[in-house]
Amino acid sequence: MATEELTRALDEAGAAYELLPHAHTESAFAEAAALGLSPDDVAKTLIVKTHEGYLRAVVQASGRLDERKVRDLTGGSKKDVHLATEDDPRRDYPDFDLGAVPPVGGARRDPVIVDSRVPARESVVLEAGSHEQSVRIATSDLVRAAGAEVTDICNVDL
Amino acid sequence: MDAHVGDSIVLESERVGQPAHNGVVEEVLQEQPPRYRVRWEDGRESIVAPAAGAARIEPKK
Repeated sequence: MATEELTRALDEAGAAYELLPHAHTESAFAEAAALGLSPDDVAKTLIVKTHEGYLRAVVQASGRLDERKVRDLTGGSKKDVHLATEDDPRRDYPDFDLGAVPPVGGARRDPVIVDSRVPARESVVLEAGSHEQSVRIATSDLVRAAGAEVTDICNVDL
Repeated sequence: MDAHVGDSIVLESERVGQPAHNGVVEEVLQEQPPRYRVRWEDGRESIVAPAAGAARIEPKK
């Protein structure tokens, strides 16, 4: 089960969390609506391809990743560093539903970057590896469990 | 503290980052680390993994 891949990683980190089942949704906005939450409560995990593999970027539901800011961190050219296409996660993240890869868990140990707007809130809700289940976690626990770097990786004109 | 079916559970706000909320343990899914299926006062249900003091358990009276 996809969510188990996430919860195993959170359990190992000693993180407290809550799993929230919801109707099938395909976007962070729809997920928020299904859970009766504001979109500001919800974040999404984006898979970014880099010249060294992948990284997972956690940004607010309304956030737009600024690939240039990511390149400033990773190095590499515009051609090397960009959002993964659908085929990449389908092939490389078979543990998870397409488009619902969580920040941690699964076979890969990707670097994780959390946009600095996310920890401005105490907790965050994210897809838990499935389009039908979310996880609520303290942002401090998320950052710790993921060993994440926290920095600005989004466009400012939200 | 281990919870049992029927115990009350209060999720502490400082760990999960929202107002404390109260519920009743409907099912113990896993002992260690603990994982409970909880029905909350507002009627919603979720699965809680209250690591390291994130929840307070009050035994069923």
